[in-house]
Amino acid sequence: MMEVLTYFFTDPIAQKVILGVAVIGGISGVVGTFSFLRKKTLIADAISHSVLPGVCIGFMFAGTKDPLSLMIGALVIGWFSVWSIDYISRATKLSEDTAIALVSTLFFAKGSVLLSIISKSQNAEQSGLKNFLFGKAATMTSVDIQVFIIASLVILSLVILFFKPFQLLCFNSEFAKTIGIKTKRIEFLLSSLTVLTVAIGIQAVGVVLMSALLIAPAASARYWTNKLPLMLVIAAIFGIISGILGVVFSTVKDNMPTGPWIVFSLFLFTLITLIFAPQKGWLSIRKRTKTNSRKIGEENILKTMYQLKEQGLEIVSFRDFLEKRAMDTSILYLFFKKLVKSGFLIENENHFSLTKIGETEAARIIRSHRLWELYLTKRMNFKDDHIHGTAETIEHLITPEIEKELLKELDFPTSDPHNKDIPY
Amino acid sequence: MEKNSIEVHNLSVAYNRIPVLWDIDFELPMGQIIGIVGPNGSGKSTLLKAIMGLVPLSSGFSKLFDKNLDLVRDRVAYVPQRESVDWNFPATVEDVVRMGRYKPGKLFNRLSSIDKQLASEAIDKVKLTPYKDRQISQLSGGQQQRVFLARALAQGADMYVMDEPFVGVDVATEKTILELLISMKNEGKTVVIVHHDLQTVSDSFDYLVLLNTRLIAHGPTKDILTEENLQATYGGQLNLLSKMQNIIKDKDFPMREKGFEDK
Repeated sequence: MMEVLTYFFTDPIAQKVILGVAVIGGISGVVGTFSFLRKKTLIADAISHSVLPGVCIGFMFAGTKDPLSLMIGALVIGWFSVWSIDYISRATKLSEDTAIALVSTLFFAKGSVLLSIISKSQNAEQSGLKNFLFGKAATMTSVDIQVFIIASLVILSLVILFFKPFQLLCFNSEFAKTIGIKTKRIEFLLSSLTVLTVAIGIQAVGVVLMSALLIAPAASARYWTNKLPLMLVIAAIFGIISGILGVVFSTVKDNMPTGPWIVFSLFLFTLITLIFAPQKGWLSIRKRTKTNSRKIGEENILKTMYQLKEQGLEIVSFRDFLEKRAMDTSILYLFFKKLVKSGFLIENENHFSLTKIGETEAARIIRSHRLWELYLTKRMNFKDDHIHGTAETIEHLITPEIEKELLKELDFPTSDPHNKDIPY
Repeated sequence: MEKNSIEVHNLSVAYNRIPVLWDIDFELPMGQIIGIVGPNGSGKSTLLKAIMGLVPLSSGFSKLFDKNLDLVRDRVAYVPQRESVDWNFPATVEDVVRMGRYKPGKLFNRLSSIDKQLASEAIDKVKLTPYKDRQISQLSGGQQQRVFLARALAQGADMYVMDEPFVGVDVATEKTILELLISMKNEGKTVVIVHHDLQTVSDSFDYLVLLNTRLIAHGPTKDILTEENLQATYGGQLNLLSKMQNIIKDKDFPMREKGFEDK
């Protein structure tokens, strides 16, 4: 592994390859974000499968692996596939996803046929054309990389220039049309950029897996931000790093295709995202669940302590407590300690009593519970014996603002439906 | 001086090959709150889309302010149905409302400070200023509807065309929208609203178009709201007409013969 790393830091050819995949990864992340937001990810997949015959035809015309000829071939056929999908779903009764499946497999089959014809030909240049299936970054020449960088810069400038129409098209194309934007042209431009991105990416990533580089960075980036410009940047970064990691991994053992390793790196980012992303990530959800159960536990303890005090028992042992209210004993001790620490309870040799602020807090929870019970009977026509369960949950969620509204709506009641006093 | 806010002449539309509007013909006044009302599936949203140039016409034409739509686009603001977009799109309230200031000729320029000012004023008018930096997916249905309304206000149009703005909104939003409609009217604007239910908010309409795949009646609300008209609008579909619609669909027949010219 170390040799591989030093190789990449010292060898100029290796550095060029790294630069190449970084550019491809970055631009794929940016362009893929729009496909993702337009919910056209399947079309991106179809385009990448469909460019294979284009590459072959480009090669047959040029007789060499000249990057421009291959790219033009890919562009033309890629565009033809987009048009075919659109035409089939408009002119026949087939749905769009069926049209996509038909077109992408048909074009890929055609490409495979052309590929085997070329490999049987006597052209010495043809070796390595098979790498377009799963990608081989190391086969990129300096000329290739220069062409890719220029094409990527063109794509990036167009994305920046057309940011507003692209944003409108993805969010609300009907609205865009009503203000006079030629949405068909904008769609055409966006599809062209996708095709062009695929065309520059397939040598390193391969037609089979190229769509992953378009879609996965955007899908992950969406988890990290709610702002479109930032999402584009994050998707680009994910694409760049995945590309570089893919090249490094595939070089560890000789002769491995790059595409699969790029996909593994992308998957790594997706996994990290699903676990660590703010709000929607697994850790965040888990933390919320934990906070909720702690809040419920602690508030239930305070409430029970208050009820015990109402019955005349001020200094409470664990046993007294558990007689009044059954709770999971494994966490009970922890919750009591926390409540002591936050100043709601005081402890004296394993006996607990409410402090002044503990009592106020407990009264607030009981007030919330009883107000909600009253609300359920008065406004939602619940029967008296059906209200307790719901109120047990809602009592933990009533905010001071809602409490104020409840009090106003119920006209500052003094007792709940069970004729218990509402403490103020 | 313009005569009509909207003129529709012999307008027919097929949707997925099924005829949904038959030869609709009407002229609407300026500066009023106009309701286009009919049951579900009566073609009212399609009519609105046809007027806004969003669906192909099988016959006829429509004019806005006596002109073709392309000549007056900047004077008309369209509010689509709330459910027509994905609210998970990465954008804030302010982002969406600022879209109201996008102009086809100036898409490559940054928004000016005047544009931004107009957008914040629009947000303020729909009472969403405290939420202006909120991600749109975190809004309630009523708030989302108000975002769309603010975007239309930011366009600064003379006519507002709204598709079902009262569907799935809370009481506060309904009240805000109704207040806005009245203040728009007082400023001389025309408001056209597609609405499915005459029970609610109908007393706010000055003028009504009753629709059920064909035009039932149109005119000032007080003249139009008759038992007979309501029965025709809501009393089920015309049996023979539905049969013909299905035959047209099954045979892939066009709604108009080729080369036929409406006079």
